[in-house]
Amino acid sequence: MSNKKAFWFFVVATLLSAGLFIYLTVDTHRQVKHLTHEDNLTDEVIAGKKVWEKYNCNDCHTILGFGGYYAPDMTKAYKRLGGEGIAAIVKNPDQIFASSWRKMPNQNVSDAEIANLTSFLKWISEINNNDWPPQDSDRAKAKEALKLLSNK
Amino acid sequence: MQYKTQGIARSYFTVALLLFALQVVFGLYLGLSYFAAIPQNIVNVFPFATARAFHTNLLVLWLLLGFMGGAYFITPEETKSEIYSTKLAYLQLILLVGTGVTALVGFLFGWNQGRPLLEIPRPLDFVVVIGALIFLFNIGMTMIKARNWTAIQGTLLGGLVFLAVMYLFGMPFYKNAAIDWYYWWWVIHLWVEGAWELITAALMAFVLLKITGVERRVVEKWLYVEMGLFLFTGIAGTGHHYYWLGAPKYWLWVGGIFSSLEPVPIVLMVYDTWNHVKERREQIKNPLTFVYAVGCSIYHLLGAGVWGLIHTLPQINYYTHGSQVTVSHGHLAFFGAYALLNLTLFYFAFPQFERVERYDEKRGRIGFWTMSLSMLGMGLAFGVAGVVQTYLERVLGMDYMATQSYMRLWFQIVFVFGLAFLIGVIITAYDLLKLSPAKEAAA
Ligand code: HEM
Ligand code: HEM
Ligand SMILES: [Fe+2]
Repeated sequence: MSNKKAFWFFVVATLLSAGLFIYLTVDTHRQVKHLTHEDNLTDEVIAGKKVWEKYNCNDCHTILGFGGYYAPDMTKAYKRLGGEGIAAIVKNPDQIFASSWRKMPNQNVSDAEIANLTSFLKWISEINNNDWPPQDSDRAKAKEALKLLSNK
Repeated sequence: MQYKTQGIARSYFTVALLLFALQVVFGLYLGLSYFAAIPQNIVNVFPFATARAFHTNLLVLWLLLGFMGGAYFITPEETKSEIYSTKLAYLQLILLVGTGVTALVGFLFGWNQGRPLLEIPRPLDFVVVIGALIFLFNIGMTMIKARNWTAIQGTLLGGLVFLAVMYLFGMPFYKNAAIDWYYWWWVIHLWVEGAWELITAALMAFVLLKITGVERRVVEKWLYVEMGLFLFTGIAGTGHHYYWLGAPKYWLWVGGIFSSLEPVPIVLMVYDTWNHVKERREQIKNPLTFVYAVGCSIYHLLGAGVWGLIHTLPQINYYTHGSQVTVSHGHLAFFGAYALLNLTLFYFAFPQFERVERYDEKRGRIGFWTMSLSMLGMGLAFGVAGVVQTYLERVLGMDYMATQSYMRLWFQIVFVFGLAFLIGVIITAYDLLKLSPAKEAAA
């Protein structure tokens, strides 16, 4: 291969991949509205996202699987713990995790902030994200239950 | 060193080395927090999250300073001219390091954007952009004025512009968290599997050209082919991060297929590095530079290529996503590809700053092997923890903290390897900053 051909290989390969990527990005923007239920993206949810960012929760907890791996994933936390469960933990982590060898900081989050935060986590938990994470998947749990019943 | 302004790189490299050591100290604190019970009153004032922001931001800062220093080092030789403005180069260094220090102090007081790896508060983002513009202007003007274009220069400049443009996508506030993460990956993935690969290819091509004396035409041909493959697989390969965030299903196919091909250009890079080294025409002055260059290409293949490939298919990633498997890959890839690349360049450049033609290699070799082997041990220990986590938490559905208790032993092993790694970093940094000439000329 000559250097000139190699150069054109580079240009064409890059443009092909970038073209596909940008085309799919436009389409993703279109579909994400439904997949994430943008209709439910209220002011409280957006304020809750800001609270999540203000206290840097994400550098310990993953959300949608991204972030720090020091503490449980928050994608379906609302389904696991409910709004009250989340509020209790954020308000009094020192008491709730008193006997745990891993601690969560008490950052004096206000009640109003906690209310927004739970709206945000509720909205997150409803995203249609191909049923991730597996440990919180209803489908997987239903399957387990069926297996237990049939084996008993 | 043929041009006076290449000396600018020395300040960049020196700061980078010190920040590297600091980064690793915080890494050790993170490792400790993973298995030891840190008391509540310490956690309240200095949470894990803050330490993690320190660790990762220091990493990115020192690598970027290394790349920038690298650009100041190779541009004069490539263009056969001095850097456009020395003053701007130092101004830019002060600006960026000042921003970095301000950001770290800010993190301590909770001044934080709250998005992993992009924690730098938005007002400081603008200072970073100004620093980047000064840098691109300075390098760009040097190249434009010299009118002596080479493929290496083009790749370097292209990679740097690509890097800077992608940073912009990380700056806005996105209301929709799914869209937020979508563009977060335009910064993170398109950096490490796009722009940075171009910069690496250019810097490595330059070093190989100089130390092996292989024909430039051959090096440049490889450069085009590798760049084409990196971008072809890497751009659409971004899809391997879009499986579980609320994006359409076709990303499972696009991300899976394109990203599985990402190791191909890395294999090619190992092959051509090896070939250039074998067919060298120059006499070897400092074999350690070769150890670094070849070591970097092999470690790059291991950490990014192999460790990336093992969890990139959606069928596997469904269970490993966001687990210690990711941490294992993150460490081996960043160290193998980018820490070693920077160190290769440092070992090429420092003897020239010091005007030491041949240096005593003993310390440097100990540093290289201590770092490389202890990082391998650390990566493997994170990896075992990851497999335990994947199986217990993801497959069996065991509670998060119960799973962590089964991983605790492996975190202790991580910590021990981490200590060894820090020693390796200190030896290496000391060796570079205090190079001693070889005792006798007999080779
Ligand atoms: C003593 C050595 C080190 C130790 C003990 C260490 C430990 C850690 C720990 C515990 C985390 C946090 C994982 C989490 O989010 O829960 C982390 C994150 C990270 N470290 Fe290190 N580290 C060390 C050195 C390094 C080096 C040398 C590099 C790069 C060359 C590096 C790159 C990273 C990256 C990229 C992340 C973010 C990982 C991700 O998001 O997956 N670390 N480190
Ligand atoms: C030098 C190049 C690379 C570096 C520095 C690198 C680094 C990283 C880091 C730090 C993460 C974690 C990000 C986070 O969530 O915080 C990550 C994730 C990932 N990387 Fe890489 N990577 C590289 C190349 C590759 C390649 C070539 C592949 C595939 C063949 C790959 C596959 C993946 C996958 C699948 C994930 C997502 C893991 C998950 O789902 O949690 N990486 N990479
Ligand atoms: Fe990626």
